[in-house]
Amino acid sequence: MTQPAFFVLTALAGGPRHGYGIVGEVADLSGGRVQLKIGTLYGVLDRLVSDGLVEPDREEIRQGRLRRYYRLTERGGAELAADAERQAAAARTAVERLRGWRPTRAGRAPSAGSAGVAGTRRRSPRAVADGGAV
Amino acid sequence: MNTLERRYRRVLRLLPAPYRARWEEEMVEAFLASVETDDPERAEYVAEFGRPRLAEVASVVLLSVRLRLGLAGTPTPRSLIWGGAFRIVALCWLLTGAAMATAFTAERVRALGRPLYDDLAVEPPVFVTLSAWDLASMLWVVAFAAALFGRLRVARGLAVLLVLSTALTRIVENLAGAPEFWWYGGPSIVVEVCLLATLWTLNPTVRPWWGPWILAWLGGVALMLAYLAAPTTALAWGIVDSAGLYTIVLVPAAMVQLARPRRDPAWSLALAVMIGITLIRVLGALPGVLNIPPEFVMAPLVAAVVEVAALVLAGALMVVVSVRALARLEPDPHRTIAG
Repeated sequence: MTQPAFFVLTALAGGPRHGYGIVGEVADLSGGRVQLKIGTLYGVLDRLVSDGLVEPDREEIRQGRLRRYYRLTERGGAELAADAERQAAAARTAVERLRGWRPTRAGRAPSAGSAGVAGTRRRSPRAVADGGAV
Repeated sequence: MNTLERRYRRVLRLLPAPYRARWEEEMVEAFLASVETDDPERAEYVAEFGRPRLAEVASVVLLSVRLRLGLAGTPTPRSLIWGGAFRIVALCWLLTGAAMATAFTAERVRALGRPLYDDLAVEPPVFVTLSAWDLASMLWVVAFAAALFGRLRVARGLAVLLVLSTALTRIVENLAGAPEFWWYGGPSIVVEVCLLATLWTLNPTVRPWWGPWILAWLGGVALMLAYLAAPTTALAWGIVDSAGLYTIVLVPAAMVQLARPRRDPAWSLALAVMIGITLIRVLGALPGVLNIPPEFVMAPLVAAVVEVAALVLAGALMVVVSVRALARLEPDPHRTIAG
């Protein structure tokens, strides 16, 4: 699922919304990071409607112009839940890894214990196996 | 209807008619809502003198291209053909790069350590070596394999790297050089960048059957090795250059496509596009051919004329076949939200 599609579905999970309402909600949800343009929104919306993830809810005429609201379908909710779970699992993994990670400064001088005989640097078996430099 | 709305509707005309019939009113409403303001004076000014922002126009242009290539919205028979054609062009481009890089590197490895110029007495002698550029060119093979097996980010990243590094090197090398470079080098760089853009038509959900593509790559390598083994004088005067090689492949391919009883329209269209690109390359190389000393110019000039004639004929046939196939398609249904 693309990022705009994910945010559109998330916006509609909060209730039916019309086109510009979705744009505003997506901007809020993403902290202003995703600013959908109208062309982008309707490309996404067309695909979501044809895939049965989103459907028209109701129509109203505002200032003589058609305003159509969309809502999430049951299938759309399930797809969103599955994608959100995938992203949450990936985020959990990243957070767990980061707990044990400490930044290492590049170019740090080797400690006395790591220096080899006559000033040469010894390669650890792990580094050799990885094919990397010490 | 105010001026701003009229201008936005004019931009929306870029979209395919069936799509517009379904979404135009909603898009206009959403767009006008996006520029609404509480200040009545400002609202009046915007309505009469405002223009859609460039980013909004760009989003519609991009949507129009993506719809026509079946990359956005609901695919139509027409968009599937256009999208399929550009995917074929993208894969053929990577295939060409991969086959050329493999053959060049194989040839270099075979000749490693031998004198570079067999028939010239150069002092001190220059020997064939394997440069970093030769090895880097093998990234074409990685990019081709990545595209074939659905690793599109890798394929695109490597292709961007390869095209930009080659283009920048050529530009820097020729900055102080002859102005003729821009006549034939310029279009060639533009063509490469356009071909690079076709990689964004590749779709992770449409995976090509890799078997025939691997066979085509091996065939391309064999053809390139045969080309490299040809007499040096024939190559040196551009009787058969790289554009000539493309012609040798594309023109028979177009004839085979023409003879097939059930033609895939995407292939006809892809061949028409690739033949058009090759024609640009051949015509771009013509000034170089005309600079050849008069005593040697006849053979490459005849070769260039034959190439142009064959490409124009094959290209025209592919265009006719493609246009007919597209015209035979049912018009897209005028879809409404209810139906």
